[in-house]
Amino acid sequence: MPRSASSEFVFSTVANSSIISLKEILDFVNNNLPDNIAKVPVNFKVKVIVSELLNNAIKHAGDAETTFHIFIDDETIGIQKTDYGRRFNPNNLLSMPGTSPGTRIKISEDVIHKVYAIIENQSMIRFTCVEDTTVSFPDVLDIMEHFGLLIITKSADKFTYEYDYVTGLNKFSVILRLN
Amino acid sequence: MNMIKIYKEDQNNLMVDLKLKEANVTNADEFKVELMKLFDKAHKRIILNLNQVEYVDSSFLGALVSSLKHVISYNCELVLVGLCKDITDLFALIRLDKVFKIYNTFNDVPAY
Repeated sequence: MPRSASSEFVFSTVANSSIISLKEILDFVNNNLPDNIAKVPVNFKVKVIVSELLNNAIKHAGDAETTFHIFIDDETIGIQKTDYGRRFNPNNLLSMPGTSPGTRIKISEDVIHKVYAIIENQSMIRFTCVEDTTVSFPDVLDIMEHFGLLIITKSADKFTYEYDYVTGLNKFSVILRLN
Repeated sequence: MNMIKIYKEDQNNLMVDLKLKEANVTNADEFKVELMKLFDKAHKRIILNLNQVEYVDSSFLGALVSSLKHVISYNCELVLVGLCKDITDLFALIRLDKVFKIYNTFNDVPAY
C-alpha cells in the first residue's frame, strides 16, 4: 500500500539557526524515506536545497519567518518554502510585457552555466539550467559569484516559484524524484 | 572574530585553518575581509584548510570565488584542502572543483 508523510517547519530567518533547521528537516526525511531508497544521495540533495532556500529567506525575503512544508511518498519528495516577504522578481521578469507562457528569460550566466526562468503563467515561473560540458577548466574570472538558484536548479527535478497577487504569498517548490 | 588561524608559513606558502563549523551567509563577508588581511602578497600561495567545516552555503562559495579572483590578480594562488564529502559533492555539482585546486590535506599539496 502506498504511503506518504508530510510535515511543516516554521523557522526564524535569523541566520545562525540554519544548521538546526536543516537537521530537523533531514531527520524528518530520513524517518520517512522508503526503505529501498539510498539515504546518502537524497540527504545531500535535501540538505543543499533546504540550505539555499533558507539562505534566500535570510538574504532576500525580508520576512521574520519562513515556513517549510515537506512531503514524501514512495516516488517523490516535495519541498515548499513560503513567506510573505518581498516578491521574487529578478530583472522584473514577472512584470515584462509580452512574456507569454513558455518564454525563457536568462537570470544568470557564466562560462559554464546559464540559469533561465521559464514563464508558466502570470504568477509562476520554472527554473532550468543549461550547462556547457565542453568547458573543462574554466578561468575563475569567468565564473559568477551567486550560486543559490544554480544549486537548487541542478539538484532538483523540478523547481518553481509562484506568487499570489491577492495574499502576497511567495512559494518556492522543489520536487525530487526518488526512482 | 578571528575565524582564520595561521597553521604554518614558509617562503611561498601561507597555510591557514578555517575555524568554522558553518560557513554561511552570516560569516562570508567577514571571512573575505580576514583572508585578504592575511594575504600580504609575499606568499605565492594561500592554502586554506576546511576540515572543520561541515556546511557551506552559496554565500560562502561566492566569498571563496571572489577571494580566488582577488588572489589571482596578484599572480598568486588560493588552494583548498580538507573538504568533507558533502562540500566536495557541492563543488562538483556546480563544477567549482574545476576552478579551485583542491587536495585532501596540507601534505598532499605539491611543493611550490
